[in-house]
Amino acid sequence: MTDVSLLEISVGTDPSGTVVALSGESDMTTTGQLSEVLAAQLTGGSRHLIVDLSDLRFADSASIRILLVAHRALRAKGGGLELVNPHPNVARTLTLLGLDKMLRVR
Amino acid sequence: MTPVLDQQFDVTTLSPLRGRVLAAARTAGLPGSRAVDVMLALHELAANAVRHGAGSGRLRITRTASELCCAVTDAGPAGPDPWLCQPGHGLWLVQQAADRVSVVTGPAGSKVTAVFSLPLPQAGLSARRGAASWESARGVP
Repeated sequence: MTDVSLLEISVGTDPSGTVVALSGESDMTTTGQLSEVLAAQLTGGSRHLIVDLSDLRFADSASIRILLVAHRALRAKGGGLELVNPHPNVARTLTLLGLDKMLRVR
Repeated sequence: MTPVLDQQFDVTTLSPLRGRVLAAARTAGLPGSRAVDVMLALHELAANAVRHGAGSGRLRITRTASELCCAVTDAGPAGPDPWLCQPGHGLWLVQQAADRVSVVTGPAGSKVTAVFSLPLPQAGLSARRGAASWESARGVP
């Protein structure tokens, strides 16, 4: 098992709110890392999260489901999760999964 | 038939596997967006074999004149779970991406085959040849 994760996650804020930026590749080997970061945001009181996908070259169904679970938890608190600027490969995953209408993408 | 790609995989080699599948699909003649579909679908099949199957498996891609035939086998005791065929899950994605999918499960493990149609270069070439000869025929006094 490689020690270097395929996925890099950074959390910051901009005028529109908390931004979780993903870069690299997100697959079944990195879902734990991703759900940990999103769970910390949820327990920290976030109601709205922006997930910046500009530098994410790949996402599989397992990692998209983590985003969907977080979106549902945020929606239950009156907020939501918004995906921003997905790479064409990631946008295609969302379409093929049938989730492009369920998650807000811009 | 000589495979275009024949690769063993486990949880540590999923990322390089994706790169090799993408390169193989492009080399086989699939246009960029279709080659990406092959990569996305085969990753899901390999990930299923790792997670729900034997923990490792083998991916074999062969090509005919008209199709790219991609088979993922693993020695796991059970085939893919039916819930994986629901929207949002791996096999759903595979079914949306591929032109045909078949699943065979037996005591020796499971084999999922996803088939992708290749573009037909012959048809395009002969159409162009036809147009060229029509042009030259018209040019003859």
